[in-house]
Amino acid sequence: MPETVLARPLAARPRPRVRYGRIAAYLFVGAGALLMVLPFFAALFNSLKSHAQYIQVPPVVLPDPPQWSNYTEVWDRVPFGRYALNSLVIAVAATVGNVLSSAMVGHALARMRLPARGALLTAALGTLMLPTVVTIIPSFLMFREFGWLDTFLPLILPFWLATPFGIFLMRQSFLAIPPDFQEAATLDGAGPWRIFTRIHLPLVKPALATLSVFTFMASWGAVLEPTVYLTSPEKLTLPLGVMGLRGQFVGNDQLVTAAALMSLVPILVLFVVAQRYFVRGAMSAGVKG
Amino acid sequence: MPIRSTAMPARRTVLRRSAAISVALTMALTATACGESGAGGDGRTTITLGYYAEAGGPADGTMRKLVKEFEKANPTIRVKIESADYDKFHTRLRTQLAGRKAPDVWLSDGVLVQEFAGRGSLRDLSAYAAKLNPDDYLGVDLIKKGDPKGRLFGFPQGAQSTALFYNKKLFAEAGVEEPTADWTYDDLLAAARKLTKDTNSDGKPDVYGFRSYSPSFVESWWPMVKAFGGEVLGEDGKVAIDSPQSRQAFDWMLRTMYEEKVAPDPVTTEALGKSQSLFPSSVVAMQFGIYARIQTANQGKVDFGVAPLPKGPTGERGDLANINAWVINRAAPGARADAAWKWIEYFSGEKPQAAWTDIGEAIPINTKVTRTPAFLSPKTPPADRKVFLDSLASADDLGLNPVWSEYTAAISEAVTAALSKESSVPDALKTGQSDAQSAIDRFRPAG
Repeated sequence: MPETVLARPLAARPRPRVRYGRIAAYLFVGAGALLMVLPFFAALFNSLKSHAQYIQVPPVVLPDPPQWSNYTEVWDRVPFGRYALNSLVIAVAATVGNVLSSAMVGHALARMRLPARGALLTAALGTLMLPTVVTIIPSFLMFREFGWLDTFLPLILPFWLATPFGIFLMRQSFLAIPPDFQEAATLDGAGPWRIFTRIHLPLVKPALATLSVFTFMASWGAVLEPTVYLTSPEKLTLPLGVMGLRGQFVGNDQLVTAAALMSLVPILVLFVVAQRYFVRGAMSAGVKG
Repeated sequence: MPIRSTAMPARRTVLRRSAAISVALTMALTATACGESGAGGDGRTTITLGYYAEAGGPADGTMRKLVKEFEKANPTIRVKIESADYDKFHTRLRTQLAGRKAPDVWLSDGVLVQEFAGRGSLRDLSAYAAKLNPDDYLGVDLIKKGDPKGRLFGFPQGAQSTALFYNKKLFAEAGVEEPTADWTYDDLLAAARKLTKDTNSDGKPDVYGFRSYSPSFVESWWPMVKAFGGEVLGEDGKVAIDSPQSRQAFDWMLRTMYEEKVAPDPVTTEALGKSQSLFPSSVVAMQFGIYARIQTANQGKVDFGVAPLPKGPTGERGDLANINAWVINRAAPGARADAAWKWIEYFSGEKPQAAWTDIGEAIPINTKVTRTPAFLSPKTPPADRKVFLDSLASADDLGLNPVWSEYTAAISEAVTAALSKESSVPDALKTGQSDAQSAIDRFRPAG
C-alpha cells in the first residue's frame, strides 16, 4: 500500500481535505481565550492611566501616556514585598496543614472503623453551611482568649485541624481505592499508619494536589479573617494591602488596579514553577505500581 | 525495577523535607508573629488609636506624623496605630467591639457615633470637654444633638457640609452666569437646561447640567427634601419622609431626569461610572457635594467653584453637616481614657488642625484655623471655601440615632426605586417610612 501511494503521480493525489470542524474549533477556542484575557488587558491598561483618564467618559482604552509611576507609587505607599511575604507564609503553612490533617481525617472516615463515623462526617459537612461571617465573632472571642490576635495563628492553625471541604474531598478519594490494596497490605503485616502513608496516600495524589490548590487560593485571597485578626501594619496580607489603597474620597482606582495586578505575580510564579508537580500528581492517579 | 527503587526513596525524602520545612516555617512564624503589643514596663501608658484612611496616602501620612509629634510632646504616652481603609476599618471595629478588643480611641464617621453610643461602647466626653472653650470648636452642638440626653459621645475631628459645585469652564462655554447665593431650584433647573449638551446628536446628552441622583443621599435627595420643606427624621425621632413636601422634592428630581433630561437617571449614572466621578470627569456641570469632594474634583483637574445650595420653595437651602469625631472606648480604663483624651485635645489644636486642613479632606473644627489663609485662600480650587463654613453654621444633622445605617438604608432603597421609576413616589415614601420606622422601633438601647 505505501508503495502504491508513493508511486502515484502528484496530480493524482487526493487534495487534502479542509478540516472545517477543526478550524471552527480553533476559532471558538481562540475567541474564548480572547474573551478571558480581555479583562486582564483592561486591568493592565487601567493600571497605567492617570486618575483623570481612569474616570474619563467616554472611556479611553489605551493610557496616554502610560503612567508607569503608578506601580512605583504602590511600592512607595505600602510595604508591598512584606505583605507578599506574609501572604505567602500564611498560605503555605495553611496549605501544608490542611493537606496533612484533612488527609488523615478523610482516611479515618473512609477506611477505619470508627463509632458514629457517619455522624462525624455529617457534622463536619454541616459546618460547610455556616458562612464565615456567622462564626467570626465567636472565633474572635476564642482567639482573644488564646492571646492570638494580631498574630498569624488564627489564619494558619484552623487549617491544621482539617477543613470540612478537605475532609470530604479526601474521604471521597480514599473511598475510591479498591479495598484489595488494604487487605493485601494488612496480610503483609502493615499497620494503619503504614497503609495510610505507603499505600493510600500515594494513590490520592490528584486529590492532594487539588486540595493544595484550593487551600492555597483560599488562604492567599482571604480578606475577612485577616481584616479582623491582623492590626499591625507590618503583619497585613497582600489583599489587605491592595484594598487599603482605596480612598474614602480620593480616587485611587488606578493604584488599586496596579497593586492588584502585582499581587497576582507571586501566585502566577508559584503555579508556573509548581505546575509539573500538579500534572505529575494528576498523571499518577490510579496507576498501578 | 532498579529505576523505581532509586526514585521512590528520593521522592519520600523530598516529601519528608517539604513537610519538615513547612512545620519549621510555621513554628518560626508562630514564634515571630505571636505576642500582642501591650504596655511596657517603662511606666508609659499605651493607647490604641484607630482611624480609617487610604494606606500611604496624605491622610495616613499626616496622621502618623501627628502621632509621632504627640508622643514626643507626651513622653508618658505610647500610641499603637490600627488603621485600614474605611470599609475594612468598620468591619474590623464592629467585630472588635463585640469581642471587647476595640481601640481605646478611634475616628468615627459622624453618622456612626450614635450607633456605637447606643450600644454602650462609648465614653461620655462631656466632663473632659467641659474644660475647653466651646467657642473654639465647630460641630460640638451637632454631635450633642444626636444624643437624646445631650451627652457628648464624640469630639469633632473634621466637618463636612454641603455646597453646590459648578464647573466654571462648562458655564463659560454655555454662556451661563455662575450660581449665586440667591439661586432657587428654578434657577438651578434653568441653568441646567442651558448646560446640557448633546454634542454628537445621538439623542443622549454628553454633558448634563446637574447631578440630581447620587447613592450618597446627603448630596442628593436629603437636602432637596429639606429645601422643599420636608423632613427625613422629625424632632420626635420618628421618620417623617412620607410628606407632601417630600413628594414635591422627588417629583422635582424625576422632572430633571426624565422630563427635562438635564440630569442622568440612576441607571445612566451607573453606566457612566460612579456618581462621584461624574463631576470630576465633566459629565455633569453641577452637583451637590460635601467638602471632601474638593479632593475628587481636583483629581479630575476641573476648574470649579462652589456656591451655597439653592433655596427651595420654602426659602430653605436644606444644608446638612456631618461631624466626624474622635470617640473613646467605654471599656478603656481611666489612665488610657485620659491619655486618649490628651490625643483628642492635641489633634484639636491649631497646629494639627492646620496640618489636617492641608490635606483638604475636611473643614477644620478649630475656629482659629478656619480663619487662616491656608483654609480661606488655598492654592487649589475652589477659591471661596467660606461657603462651607456658612453652610455648616446653618446646617442640620443627618437625623442621627443608633440605627442610622439601617433606617437610612431602608429609605434609600425605597426612594431609589422611585427615582429609577420602578415604583411610584407615594408608594416609595410610604414603604420607606414604614421600613425605616420599623428599624428604629426594633432597636433597644444597651444598658
